[in-house]
Amino acid sequence: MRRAGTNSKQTYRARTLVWHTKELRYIQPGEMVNLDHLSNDEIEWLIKSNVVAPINLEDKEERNGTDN
Amino acid sequence: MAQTTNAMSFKSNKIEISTNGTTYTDISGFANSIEVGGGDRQSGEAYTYDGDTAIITTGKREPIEVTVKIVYTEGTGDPFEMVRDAYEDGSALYLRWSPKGGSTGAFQFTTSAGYVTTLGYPVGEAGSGDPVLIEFTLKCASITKSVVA
Repeated sequence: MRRAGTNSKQTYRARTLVWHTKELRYIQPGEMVNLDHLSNDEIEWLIKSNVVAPINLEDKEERNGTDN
Repeated sequence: MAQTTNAMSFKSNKIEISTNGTTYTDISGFANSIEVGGGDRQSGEAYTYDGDTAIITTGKREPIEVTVKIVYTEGTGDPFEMVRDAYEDGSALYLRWSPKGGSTGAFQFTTSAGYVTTLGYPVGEAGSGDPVLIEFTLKCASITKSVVA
């Protein structure tokens, strides 16, 4: 479960096809994905594996022209 | 690249079955093996008088056949009955599996709607003490990789 101190308003965007275990549906790349059911460690792992990206980070990348 | 430390065996595989592609039933406690065949992309070739090698072109991908062995049991809603129903009705069936067990971040491979083209019935020899296994083949158009989250 989510640990104390997590920013519950953080939103993420899928960067690959994701099977959402709570919503029981596929999240297409580019779609927003709710990760409230995951722990910080799990979310960090998904970010590190390029499965999802925090929306704010992604926007920053796009502004910097580093996103493909 | 350095030698990987992330290799895995198939012992933790999770396999699920569905009749609608939305609600899946975990049959890991019944499934014994899974194999995938087919799916080759069609290709062609031609030679010209100029040059020494072929011109190669590609076409469409062929259907995929997923063959699964399961332990034969007779409970209502057990995998054998689900598969037999789909086989006899000619109705769609979906399979998905996750080699790492389906936890967060694990890859998951999901078939498109497929049809049971081959169903093995329970058979065996009197001298064997092995559990009865049956095998079925699901023919589908594609398999999609996703990540569990």
